[in-house]
Amino acid sequence: MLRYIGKRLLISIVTMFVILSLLFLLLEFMPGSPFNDEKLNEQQKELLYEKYGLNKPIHERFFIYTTNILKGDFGVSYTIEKNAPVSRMLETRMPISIRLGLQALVFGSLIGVVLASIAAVYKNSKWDTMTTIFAVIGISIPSYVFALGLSYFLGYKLTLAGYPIFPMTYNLYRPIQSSILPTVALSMFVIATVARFMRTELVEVLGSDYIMLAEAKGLTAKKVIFRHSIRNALIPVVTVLGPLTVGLMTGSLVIERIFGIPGIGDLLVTAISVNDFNVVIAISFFYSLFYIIMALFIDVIYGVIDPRIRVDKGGE
Amino acid sequence: MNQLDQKYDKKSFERILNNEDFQTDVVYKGISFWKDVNLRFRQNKGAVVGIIFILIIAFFAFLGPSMTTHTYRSKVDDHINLPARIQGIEKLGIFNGESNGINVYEVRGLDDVYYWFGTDTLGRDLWTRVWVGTRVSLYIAFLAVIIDMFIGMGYGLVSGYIGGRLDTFMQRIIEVLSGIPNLVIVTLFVIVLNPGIISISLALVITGWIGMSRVVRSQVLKLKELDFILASKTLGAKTSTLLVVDLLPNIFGQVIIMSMFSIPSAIFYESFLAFIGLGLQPPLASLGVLINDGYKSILVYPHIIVSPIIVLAILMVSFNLVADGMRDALDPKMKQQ
Amino acid sequence: MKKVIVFLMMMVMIVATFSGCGKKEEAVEGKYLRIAQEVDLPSMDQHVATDGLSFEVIAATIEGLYSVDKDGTFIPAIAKSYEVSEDQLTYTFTLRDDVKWSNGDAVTAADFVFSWRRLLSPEQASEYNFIGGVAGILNADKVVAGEVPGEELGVVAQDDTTLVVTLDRPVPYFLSLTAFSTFFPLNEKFVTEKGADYASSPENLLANGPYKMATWDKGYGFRLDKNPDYYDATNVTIAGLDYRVMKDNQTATLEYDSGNQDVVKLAAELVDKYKDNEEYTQIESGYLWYITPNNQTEVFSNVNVRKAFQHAINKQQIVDKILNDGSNVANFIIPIGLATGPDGKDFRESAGTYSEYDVALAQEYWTAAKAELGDTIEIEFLFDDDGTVKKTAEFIQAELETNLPGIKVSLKAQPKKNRLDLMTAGDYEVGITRWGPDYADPLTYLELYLTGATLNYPNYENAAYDVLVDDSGKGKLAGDAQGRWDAMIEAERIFLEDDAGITPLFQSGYAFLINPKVTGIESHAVGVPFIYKNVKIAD
Repeated sequence: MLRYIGKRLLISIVTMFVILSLLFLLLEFMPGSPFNDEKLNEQQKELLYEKYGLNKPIHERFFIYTTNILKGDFGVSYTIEKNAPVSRMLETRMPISIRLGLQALVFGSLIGVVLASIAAVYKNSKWDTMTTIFAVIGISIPSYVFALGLSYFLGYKLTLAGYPIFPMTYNLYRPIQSSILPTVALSMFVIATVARFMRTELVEVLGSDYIMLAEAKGLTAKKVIFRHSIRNALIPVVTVLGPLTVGLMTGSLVIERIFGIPGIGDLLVTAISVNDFNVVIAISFFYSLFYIIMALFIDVIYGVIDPRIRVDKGGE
Repeated sequence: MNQLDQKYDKKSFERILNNEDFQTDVVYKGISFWKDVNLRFRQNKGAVVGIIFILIIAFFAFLGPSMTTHTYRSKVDDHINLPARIQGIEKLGIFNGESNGINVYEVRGLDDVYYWFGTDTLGRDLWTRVWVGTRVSLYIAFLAVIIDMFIGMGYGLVSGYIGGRLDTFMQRIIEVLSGIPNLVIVTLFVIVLNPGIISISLALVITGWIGMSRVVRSQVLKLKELDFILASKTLGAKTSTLLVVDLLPNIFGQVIIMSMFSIPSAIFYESFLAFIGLGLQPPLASLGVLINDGYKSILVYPHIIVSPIIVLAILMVSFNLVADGMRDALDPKMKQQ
Repeated sequence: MKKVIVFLMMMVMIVATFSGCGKKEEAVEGKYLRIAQEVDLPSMDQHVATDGLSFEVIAATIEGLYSVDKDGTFIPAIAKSYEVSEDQLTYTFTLRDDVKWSNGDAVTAADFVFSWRRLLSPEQASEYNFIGGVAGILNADKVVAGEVPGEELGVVAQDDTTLVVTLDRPVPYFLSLTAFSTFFPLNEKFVTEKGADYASSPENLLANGPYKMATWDKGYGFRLDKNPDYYDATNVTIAGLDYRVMKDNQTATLEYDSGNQDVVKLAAELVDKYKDNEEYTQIESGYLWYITPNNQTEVFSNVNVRKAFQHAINKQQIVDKILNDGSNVANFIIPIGLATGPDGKDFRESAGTYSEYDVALAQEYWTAAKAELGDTIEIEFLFDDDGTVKKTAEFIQAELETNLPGIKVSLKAQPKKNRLDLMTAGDYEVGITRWGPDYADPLTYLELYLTGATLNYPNYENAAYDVLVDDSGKGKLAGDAQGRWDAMIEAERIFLEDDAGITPLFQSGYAFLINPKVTGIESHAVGVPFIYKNVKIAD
């Protein structure tokens, strides 16, 4: 297994390299420049390109950039926070996004598991239908509507009624209290995912012979669910949750905008739309890194959940 | 062997039951697989309700727009931002054109005017726009499922079953695709492609299937180690037969759930594409676009967003109920219970 | 199962660790003006900044030679007075001697010389360095191009309190530029010492104005405290300004409604809810939005088509129903309140109006156009993928198709940067664009449409127009205030009435919610958008 992980890590370096070079190439074709295109004449643009080294040929820039990344230097921002080192921009923003993402993951998974267990045990009953409806509505209502609704009803209305429990927007100085609403809003998709995938898998597991055996042995329903079934229903959930977690940790544009959270989800989208190339590359770099690590982690965890699965086994 | 040689005296056993009924084998009428599926599906109440709602929505999607004199693009400048008002029902106190307790229609002197879902900020009839939008979104939903089924499932089956180097390679491709922000690719699309259905489909094809392929792969990884696959292989089944006949039916549950997940994602993705100029061009709108537009004035004119959201939510819940029903009905193991 | 529990517990612990990284809230006393902003603050370096918010915050912390009062009149700030030579080419400013930077250094004439040279130096590559040439400072363009060293720039510190500026031509609006953030002074010692870190955080900034930066949480907000060392500190009555970045207009409004913010910009969609309230405030801006037809295309090279467009769109409806934010119908290209002429009157009072909404007239031109071009005319309409612009485009599409029979308008939304690329390349038929003024003179608009100019999106060509504009700019009318004024009025008329070069739509305004207790926020259509020095907050 260790050898397999080592091999995968080596391959990851190649993958990262491919991602970075593709991204570099694609950004090259983006319309406009990172600078104020409307007001600048050619001469000014040349000066700016010269200043930031953008007039060098693409392969040279790529080489400089990748070697700089190894030193932890992601260049400077051209537009959003003019001339600020990108690493410094991410330093304050990334922890916030990661924290919110993990909070949403934990909260969403817990609720999701409970819903899935109820639905699976009382299959085809009204409880089952209700959890399905709850989960589906969670993904059918766009997150921005849901987030604004939370901010409006639990933030604004409660404050007006004299119970300022939940701040309407994020507060950097009260990070725990003010992150409750964003966490709930973010976790809707997690809840739906866990609830739906786990229910399906639980239904199958609960119908299998070894669970019948457990029941026949006289174990209680709770024990059957928690000791024997959930673990075996985890594979699809882990598969879907992995990439979702990476997405959550790298911030959500919508949630960050609505709650005024200084995270990296909104930063990435803004950076793409104003051609702040270094910021785009840096955030994509971390996203890819997380994603690759997560993919490896999932492949390894498959074997832990179900020892019969051997991803490291050769082909047929 | 001694035991077999033991002899017993017939007289030591006495027949206590003489009723012939107990010895008759009942022969049930043979039911074909699909008939059985059909039967089990119909027993599932949720699924039936889902089907009914889907039919109702489909009905309105096709005929709704022709029920009024408006078209999805005609605007009346004096009729902007009117809340919903329906003849007859208005007497019940709902759909009576009131907003914050004021009858907006009466205030503006529009006594005989009825907009069933109200109007938007340009004075266009929301009823027509919602149902025309439903058509578009149904198409997007269909497209998303097709992409999931063909590209996503195929990719996952091959990657998971064949495994080894091919799997490693195919998974790295997914990592590369995921690592490049979608918005970058889509922005480049906007420059190259003309807006329309083909562009939407292409944008969906790039990354819309990745989730499905991962789920399928994980299931295949698990199942291919099981005995029945080994048995099938020993009996000389070809790889393609193995994949389609043996593996596919067993992963159907997760596949259905996953494809249901990709529908709302695709619908909202389409509205995002429309926003940046790659989707359908205004004034044509999908449910996603209507929701997007309505969101901006949700605090002032909530009625604009309410109807498309409700239609979408009902549609999605119905899809999922039907999907659950289908999953249960198709699952061969469920027969035992 | 235990493993799952352990895993979950680990997660919770990670979360708890991260939760600890929140900042300690500083206790602040006194009344702060709390402002919700839609965008991050891009820069506090006046030679790097290009946007209104940066200019506004820089102007709250640093003062220049002159400033602007609430009516747009230029008032002395660091300069006590100035003298102009008879040929209008030399300005001599006398500075106050009691102005101090927040590190204790005195603000001297040398600080201006350093700052202006830095603005124009090729190494700095400021995106705003064109403004030196606009201001007419001697050798400005040559310094930018690297042809002569910064020392040859026409600005000299005669002594600590005397600054002499030499221009290369008479520039009637020169004084207005000295009130603009780009021309503010900088402390050479401090800026050089900080190097690349200058302006990156409150510690790396100096102030000489009413406020100084206290905290700056990137992407979240920043706080300016009253500067006790400001020479006019007695007239600054509030404790400071507290900015918070809130990109979603609806939650920002909710925060305002619950009393957590004092100033919030309203989105068009929300205006209906507030427009009868006392706190609803409309503020004019200098941005002019217009339809630019590409005069080189087959359809729009026809002047009748362009004229039909000018009269076919009900702009009042756009302003009232779609924008709804205090924008005004524009039947002109030089915005209201941009520039005052030699007679003391606004440009618009002397100039005429063109391109008014008139369907009958539009159809007359349209019939003429169809006689030349055929019965059905198809066009593609280009615009930004922005909410309000999109709605405006949809409205215009419907208007054109209703009022001009036989036209077919297809809409083409594009990301802004791509829209700009297409327009610059002339690769479009017709579209919406806008222009904001760089300085308080009609030339900032008129120069756009000179033959061959980069930003001449309509690809307009008219020799007579070119002559008029050139003369009133760097040409023979430069020293003749009334003569150039008349020339510019005539140029606008030729462009709009004779040639229908573009179709103006509206001069944009902004709708704000401002706490009724707050008074004294001064807004300006050109230059520094907001000045907060005289803000007062009632109890």
